Amino acid sequence: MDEVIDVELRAQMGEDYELIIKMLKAMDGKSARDKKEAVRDMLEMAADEKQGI
Amino acid sequence: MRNKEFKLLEIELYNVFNYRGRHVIDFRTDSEGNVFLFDIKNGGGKTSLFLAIKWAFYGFDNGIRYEKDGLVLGADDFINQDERANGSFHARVRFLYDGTEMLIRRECPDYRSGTTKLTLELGKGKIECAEAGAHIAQIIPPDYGNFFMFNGEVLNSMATDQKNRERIDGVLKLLGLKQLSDLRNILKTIKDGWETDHYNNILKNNELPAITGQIATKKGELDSVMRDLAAVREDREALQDEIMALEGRRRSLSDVEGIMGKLSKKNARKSELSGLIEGVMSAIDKNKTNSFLIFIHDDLKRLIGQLEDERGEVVRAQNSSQGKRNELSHIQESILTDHLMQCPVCRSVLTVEQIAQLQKMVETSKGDSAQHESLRMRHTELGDQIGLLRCCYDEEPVKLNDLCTQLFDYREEEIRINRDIDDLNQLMSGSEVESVKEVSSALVGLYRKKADLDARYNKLERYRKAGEAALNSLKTQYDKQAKLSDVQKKVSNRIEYVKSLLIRIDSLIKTIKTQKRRAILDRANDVFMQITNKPDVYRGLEYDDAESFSMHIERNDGQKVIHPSSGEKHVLAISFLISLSLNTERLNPMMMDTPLSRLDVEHKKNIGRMLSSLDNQVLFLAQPGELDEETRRSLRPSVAKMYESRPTEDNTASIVEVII
Repeated sequence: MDEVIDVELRAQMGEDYELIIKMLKAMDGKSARDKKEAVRDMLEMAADEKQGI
Repeated sequence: MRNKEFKLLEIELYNVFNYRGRHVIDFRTDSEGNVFLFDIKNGGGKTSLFLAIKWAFYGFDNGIRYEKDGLVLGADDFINQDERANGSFHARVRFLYDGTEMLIRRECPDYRSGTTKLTLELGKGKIECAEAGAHIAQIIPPDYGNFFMFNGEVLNSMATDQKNRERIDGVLKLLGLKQLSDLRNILKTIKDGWETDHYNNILKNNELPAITGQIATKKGELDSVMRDLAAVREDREALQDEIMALEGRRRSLSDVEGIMGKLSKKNARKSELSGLIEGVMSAIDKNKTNSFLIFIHDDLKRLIGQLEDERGEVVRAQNSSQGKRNELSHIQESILTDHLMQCPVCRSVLTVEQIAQLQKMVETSKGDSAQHESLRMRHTELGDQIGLLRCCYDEEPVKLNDLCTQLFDYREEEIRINRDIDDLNQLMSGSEVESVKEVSSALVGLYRKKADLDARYNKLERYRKAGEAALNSLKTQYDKQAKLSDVQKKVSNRIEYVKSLLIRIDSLIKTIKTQKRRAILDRANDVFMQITNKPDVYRGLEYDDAESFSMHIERNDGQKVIHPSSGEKHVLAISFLISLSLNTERLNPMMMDTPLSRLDVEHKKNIGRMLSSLDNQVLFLAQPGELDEETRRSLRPSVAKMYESRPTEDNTASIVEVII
């Protein structure tokens, strides 16, 4: 990832930075449908963890 | 920022376009120069080389179009026309990426099918096909090919069609923003889906407090109804007490109507009884001559019995001799009457003695007959007596008795009725009619009021039932909602979370895009002002709008150059592409196919100088005359290698040779 973006991403997303990076990696080389499913799974898990569910 | 260096090291072409057989171009050099200059005549293989290198990386997929003279090229164009019988062609590219040497080999085994095989060697490893393609796409995404492997046509479209959505996306990809933008769009799609589920398919998140509010309102309404009901109930009870008291008073005064009614009925009955008594009296009067029979009823019964007995004896006496005597008397009388002296059968003849005896017997028989006659007459007499006595016994006395009983009952009833009538008349004479009227009038008012209260009560009761039903429904809804609220809460939290991510990603994209756009514009201005032949006329470049990367040239007075020349368009495009390249994370090679053909000497010279100043590897494919002496001079310090092409001996193919 572009270093400028990486720095901004880390600053902007804070503790969610790792999640965004994971999502971006999970999207690589996948179809649109698979991308969405992969992102949604991660998102649900992260959101539930945040809420302590 | 450290850019990842990307350098071509070696290219091998086999039966591609006019490169018949195996053909190797080596880019390795000890020179510090970055420009690899191909000075190739028309038809010598410039565009072929350009397209073959591009194809080696991207094949026929990935949205890359291979065009020449306005025609889109496919596998049957790529294969060397003299080697079509062979069927296959391939290209190999050895390159250095971020310190790692790699080798890709793309082969089209059969130009008729157009499919290709790809292998990628990374150090000692080797990966193939789809996996290799994905890896190549990571190292040098297709957008690089679109932006940094260009010819005059690409430059022209780049200068005029920068607002094209695909091109904007391509730029964003190069800047690393497309991936973020894609992620942002996926997150938004997920969020929208969740919200749809949350707000439409499941009960809305804010429905619970809404239901609570509705329940409170409904409860308030119901309480009000219940209060009204209680008040009305009390009023009804008080009214009922009042009515009961008045009814009692009215009854205590007099039941005039009732008495009148009763009196009327009694009088009617009295009148009826009078008629009945009169009828019975008349009947008794008619039968009064035999009334004494009532007193001799038992004697009659006994007398009838005696007479019945005597008649029985007479009958028996009559029956004892009647038949035989009658027959004999008849024979004797016939004999004597007809003088039958001789029997017609036996011819016996009666004697005188016998005749005398017969006459005696006839006389005797006549004496018996008198006795019989006497019995018969007695029988008749007894029959008459019995009939008379039975008539007296069976009919008259009983009927009279019934009439007397009936008369007695009627008299009794008449006495009772007269007594009742006297009582009722007495009641009538003692009632306070006027007071009764007043009480009745008051009662009518009270009953009317009670009817109103009843109607109001019933109405309120309906409200109460409807209110309770509505309240129960709301409570059921509330309970159901309360059960769902955990799921809702979870989904709601997810939505809030993804919203917070979206806000930050949007902000991030906006910030970075603004930064990158500014950086690209600044760098493009630097390049443009170094290249342009009118630095004193033009102030530089400016974006057409706030979103795209489309640029225009601005004059010193701030006015947009409405109709730039084609050369100026090329300069603008080259400025943009160089700037873009410098703003990516890669120091990638730039491959240019006759980029200067439309430019004047001043522009060429300036571009030559500009290209020399870059750190990027530059493959410059020039045609004869494209590079004038001055341009060559400006390029020369940076030229790492120079190539020329010559035809093969049979003039059917090109051979590229290093001349410097």
